[in-house]
Amino acid sequence: MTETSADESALQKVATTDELEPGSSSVVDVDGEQVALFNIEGEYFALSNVCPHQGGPLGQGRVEDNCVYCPWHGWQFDVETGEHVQGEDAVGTYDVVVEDDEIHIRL
Amino acid sequence: MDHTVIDGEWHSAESGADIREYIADDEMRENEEQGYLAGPKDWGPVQWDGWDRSAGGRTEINIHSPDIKTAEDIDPVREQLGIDTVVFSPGQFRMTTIPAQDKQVMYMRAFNDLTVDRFARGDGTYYAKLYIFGNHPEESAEEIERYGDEDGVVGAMITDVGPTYPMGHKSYEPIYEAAEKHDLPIILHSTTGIVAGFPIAGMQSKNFAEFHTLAHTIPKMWHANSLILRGIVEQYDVDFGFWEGGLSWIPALGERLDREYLERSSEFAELSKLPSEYLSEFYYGTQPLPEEATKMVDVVDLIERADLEDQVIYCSDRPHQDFDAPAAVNNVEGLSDEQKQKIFEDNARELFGI
Repeated sequence: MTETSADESALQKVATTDELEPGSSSVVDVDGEQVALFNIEGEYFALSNVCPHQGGPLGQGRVEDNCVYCPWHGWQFDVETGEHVQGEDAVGTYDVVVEDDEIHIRL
Repeated sequence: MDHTVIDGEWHSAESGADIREYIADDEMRENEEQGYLAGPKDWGPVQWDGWDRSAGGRTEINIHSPDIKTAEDIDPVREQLGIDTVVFSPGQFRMTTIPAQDKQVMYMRAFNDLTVDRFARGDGTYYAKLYIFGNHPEESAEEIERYGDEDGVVGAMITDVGPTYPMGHKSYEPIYEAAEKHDLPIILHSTTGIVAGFPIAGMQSKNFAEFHTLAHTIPKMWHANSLILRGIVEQYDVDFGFWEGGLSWIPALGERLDREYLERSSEFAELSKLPSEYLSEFYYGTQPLPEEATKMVDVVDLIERADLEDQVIYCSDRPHQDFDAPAAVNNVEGLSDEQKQKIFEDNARELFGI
C-alpha cells in the first residue's frame, strides 16, 4: 500500500511513477529478491513475485478487485495484505512509499 | 540437495493439422486437408471440447501451446523449471473424439510418425511415448511393433476414457503381448475431451471444476480394478503407469478390491497375492499432488503404507493448466531426500529404461 512519508533509511527506489502506469505491473530485482509492483488506479502495491504455491510469477498475473491471480494456477492473493483468499498461504508484501515521482519499497 | 529431475510427462502440443501432415496416403491426406470446412482448420476431425480451462482467463497456461512443434522448443521453459530430462506424452490425446471410426487408425499412425520425427530424440534429454487406441488393439500392437525399438521411444500411452472395455478385457491382449515383447510400459492417461464413453458421457457436469475433479480418477479405478481382477497382472510381464490421477485413489481401490477378493476369490483370476499388493507394483505419476491445504491426505504416509517408494514418478504435465512444477514435490513435508531422489530420477529410469 502506498505511504506518503517514511523513514528514509529502510527505503529502496524501485521505479519511477511514469514507469508504472495505472493498471500495469512490473517485476524488479531487489537484492536478489523478485518483487512484483502493481499500480491499481493510482495506488501502488508491492508483493513477492514468487507465488508460495509453486513459484509462479505473480507480477505477470491478472488483477481484479485488488487481487492478483497467479498466471500458473490461478491462486488469488490480496495485493494489500498478501493473503491467499481461499487458503492459508500468504505471499510477502512490502510497504510502498512514493516521493517526488519515485517509487520506493521498505525492506 | 538438488536432484536431477526427469519429468515423466510433458505433452507435445500438435494440432490436428500437424498430425495430418504425416498421413502416409497422399489421397487421404488431401482428403483430410479439404474435408473440414465447417470447423477450425487446425483441428480437423479432432474435436475441441469447449471447456474453459483458464477460469475466465485468470490463468495463462495454454494446453495447446502452438509454439511446441519439436522437442527442443521446450528448452527455455524446461530449463526455467529445473527439469533435466523429459519423457513426452502425446499432446493431442483426445483423438478418441474423432467421430469417424474408420479414420482413427490412420490418425494414430500419423501421430506416431510425428512423435518419432519430432519428439523421441533418445539423446539423454528428450524421450517420448507412442499413442495407442484402446478400441483398436490389433492396430495399436502394430504401432508398438513398428516403433517399439526406436531410439527415444520408451512407452505407449493410451487414453483411458473412451475405450469400450476396461483394460482387463481380452481384446487388449495383442497390446500386452507387443508391450511385453518390446519391454515398453503402458501409461494410462485420461482426457477431459468430450468422449462418448465411460465415464464421461454420464457425468453431466455443471462446469469444468465439477468435471475435472473426477475425470481422471474414475477411469483409473475402472482400469486398475479390471487389470487385477482379470489377472492381466499375472499373465503379462508389462509395467503399467497411471498418470494424472494423483495418488489418493489407490488405497480407496485397494480396500474395496481386497474385501471383494476375501469374500469371493472365485470371481477373480488366479492371483498370487492380495489385489492391493498389485497396486503397489504399478507406477504412478505424481501430478496432481495433493495441495498442502488438503489435510486429510498425508503423501508420505500413503507412500509408505502402499509401498510406493519405488513406483512414484515426478510428472509436470506441462503445458496443461494444472501442471506441477518440481516445487510440488519439494513442498511435500516429510519426504526424505532418498525418496525425492527416487521420485525425481531413479523410478523414471527404472520404468522407462533411460
